[in-house]
Amino acid sequence: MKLLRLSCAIFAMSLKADLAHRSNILFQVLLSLAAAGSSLITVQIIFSRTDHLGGWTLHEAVILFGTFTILGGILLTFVEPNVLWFHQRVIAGQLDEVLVKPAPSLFLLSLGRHAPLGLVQAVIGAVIVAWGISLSGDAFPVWRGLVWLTLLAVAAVITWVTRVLVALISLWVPGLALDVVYDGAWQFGRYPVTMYRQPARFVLTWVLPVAFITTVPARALTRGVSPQLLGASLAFGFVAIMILRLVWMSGLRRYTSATS
Amino acid sequence: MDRTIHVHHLSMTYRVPVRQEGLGAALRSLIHRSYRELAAVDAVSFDLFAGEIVGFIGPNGAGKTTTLKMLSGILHPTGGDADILGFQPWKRQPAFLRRIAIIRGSQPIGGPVELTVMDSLRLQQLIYDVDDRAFKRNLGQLNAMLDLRTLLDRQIRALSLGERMRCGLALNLIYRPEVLFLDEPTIGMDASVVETTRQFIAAYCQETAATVLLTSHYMADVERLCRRVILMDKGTVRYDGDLRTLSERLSPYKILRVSLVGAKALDLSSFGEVDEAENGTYDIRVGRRDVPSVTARLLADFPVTDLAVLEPPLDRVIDRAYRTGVA
Amino acid sequence: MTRSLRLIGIYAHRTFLEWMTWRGFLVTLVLGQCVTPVLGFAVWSAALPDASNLSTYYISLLVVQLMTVFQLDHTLANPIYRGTLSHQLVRPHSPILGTLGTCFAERLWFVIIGAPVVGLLVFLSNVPLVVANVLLALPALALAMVVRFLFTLALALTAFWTQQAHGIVAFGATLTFLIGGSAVPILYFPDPLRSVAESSPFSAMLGLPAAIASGSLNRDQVVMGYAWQAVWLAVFLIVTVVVWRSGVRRFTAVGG
Ligand SMILES: Nc1ncnc2c1ncn2[C@@H]1O[C@H](COP(=O)(O)OP(=O)(O)OP(=O)(O)O)[C@@H](O)[C@H]1O
Ligand SMILES: [Mg+2]
Repeated sequence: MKLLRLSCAIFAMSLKADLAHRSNILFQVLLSLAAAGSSLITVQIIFSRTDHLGGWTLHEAVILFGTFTILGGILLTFVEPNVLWFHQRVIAGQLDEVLVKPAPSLFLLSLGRHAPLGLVQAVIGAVIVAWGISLSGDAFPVWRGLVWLTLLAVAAVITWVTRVLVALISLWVPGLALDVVYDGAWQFGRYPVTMYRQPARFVLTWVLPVAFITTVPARALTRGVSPQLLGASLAFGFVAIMILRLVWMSGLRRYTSATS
Repeated sequence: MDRTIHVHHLSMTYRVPVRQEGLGAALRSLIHRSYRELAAVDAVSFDLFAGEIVGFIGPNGAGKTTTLKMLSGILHPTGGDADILGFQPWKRQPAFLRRIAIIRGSQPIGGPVELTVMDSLRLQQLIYDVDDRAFKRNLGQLNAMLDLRTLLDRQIRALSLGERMRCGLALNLIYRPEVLFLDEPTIGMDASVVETTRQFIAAYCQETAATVLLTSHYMADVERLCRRVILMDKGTVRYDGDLRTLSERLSPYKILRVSLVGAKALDLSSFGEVDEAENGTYDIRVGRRDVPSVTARLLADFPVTDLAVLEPPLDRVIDRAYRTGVA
Repeated sequence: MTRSLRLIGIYAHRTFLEWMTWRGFLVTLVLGQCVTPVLGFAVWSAALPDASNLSTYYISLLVVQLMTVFQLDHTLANPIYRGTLSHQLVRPHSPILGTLGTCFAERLWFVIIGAPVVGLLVFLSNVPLVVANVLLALPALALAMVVRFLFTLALALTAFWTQQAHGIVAFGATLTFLIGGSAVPILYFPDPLRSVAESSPFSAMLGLPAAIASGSLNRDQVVMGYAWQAVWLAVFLIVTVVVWRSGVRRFTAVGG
């Protein structure tokens, strides 16, 4: 409860700070629109030459890409500002400030800063999903939308966990920054995992779980998922949080602050 | 008096990676890192009582900051124990963290830098569960003492060093901590800000009866604020007690400052070592026990217009202590 | 001229050694650059399982990507923001020499780290390489490098005017990825789009050398490609010089 209040306060304050620069907002909007638009054109071109991509049709692929864009926006807004170049903060001993505050350190560390402009991208993603739905021409039952939302939340959690875990590596290997690698791996979520051959598909499901981040929620919306898969996803999200907590606690023991 | 801080045999040993020069060594260190143990704090014990302001001094690398980090829960010690307000610091219980603050001159403000000072204060209010009435009251007081008015709506990113420190103090004192760890709070401040800060710390402690452990390399800070000092060197406590006693013990002499009629240079070295002489005013070093007799002789032999007995400057005393150790 | 070359050499040498410390990070940068070609390959081999020389094309594209990408948003825009460019401005030669030196060092590092990756891919995928095609593509690769350098430089120099240079450079990279032949090989563009893409600077910077190397173009197309590269080289050279001149004037006027 307190964490929720804190989150809201941080978000509101960051938003206020961001809104002070109008030109930045405009720029962000244009950039996100252009990137999303040209990616959609790419999808269109692909489907002008085939009607199935890893078993997915055009409107399904569009919905998948929309989901991917939404999650990218969430990542950009709530997680990236906290963990970008995390290794430098470790070296500079800047975790100290988080440790002396009477609130969960993992929360302050990984969700304590927001960049609200990233939500522009999430909104664009939602519009793309809506467009994908209208492309299909089918009627979507409401419960599928609810399952999609649930799985989207799970996906957001997994995104947060994996991104923070990648950052925390620098507690064990000082100076190792895998930010670029995570960005790269993230891109594989644009397309359904069924498209990749083994063993890439296995890696993208269990090691870098982009399957759970984009493919599963999008599938839930387009064709529905079995209760088993829904349960497995929820369990996966829960286990992910537990793993992150454990890793953070043992990483904290390795943290020796900086010299000043 | 209530004991607020009890430290018993506290120790911290860092494991620092070492690497020889050269490429070969660099490659070898990829596979097998070698470490050296560095005992930064070695079995330190002391007690602090409610309302005390204690100076925590020692040369660079003595282990002061490391001790403060352990006492505020940032570091887990490798040995020993500490009890602050009934808590073990490194368990980092919220109830404990709400009652202490560590303020460091080297990084006075953590957290997001694009927020304004007021927003950051509000955030602190939420994190530390300060109710609105207390917040308003405390802010009013801090405002009056630190003159924050012009800073409240500025972004932290754009503050100058001294402004940052003032805001850092405000951010950490808005929740009225009972125990304060101040690590070189006056570093990099201009003369008048240093003075206000000292006054402010004194006033805050007077009012709230907070317990303070203060590190500083400026002896003026220590002299102004602390009666008691703990002197550390190479990870161990070398002295713990009255500042006055320390300086008496370290410097068995006083300074006699005499002004004589006429600007003619005189040779007074028969009374003691002459430290400084200008415009007819002389600083003579005299053994503590000889002060009365030397004074009497001076008054008898010379046309003295003014005479004062001074303690030797603390800076020099401490400098000697750092160099030669406390006997 | 020889003095300038020597200075570039000195700067390149120094930067190369400086980056020794960041070699781990450089590896991640190279891996990051591999992602888009790999992704493109994955998509198209899933969409068109029978396409013939897709793997040759994408391995060539990976090489082109590694050879032509410049991180000028970091190596140039950041010094402008921090005002450290002024160190270079006070030296008795054009500050562009320092930037060029940095770019050579960057290239060298990318080659050192990227070569094993490419070698492994060639070995694993067992692609048919036609030597004549590869030789025909080499000049195109060199031209692509210069064109992309000038293009990125012009974008990064917007740092003199705006705080958004990183976003602008990233946007340029996105366009290059989407239109330049990485997301979609230019041959696969539907028709009106295709001729636009072929004549665009993005093809000249990325797709053209890969298309030549994989033998997907006939003689006329190769000639046209080279012609467009020459055109874009001239255009970006003029643009960049103009931007650079007015940027430096502004920098010295407002003091960064
Ligand atoms: N995070 C760390 N990792 C390794 N060694 C450290 C670390 N922090 C401090 N040290 C070492 O421990 C010793 C004590 O450092 P500390 O910062 O406690 O000294 P200090 O008394 O605060 O000195 P100063 O007056 O210079 O601030 C020094 O030798 C320092 O190099
Ligand atoms: Mg210190």
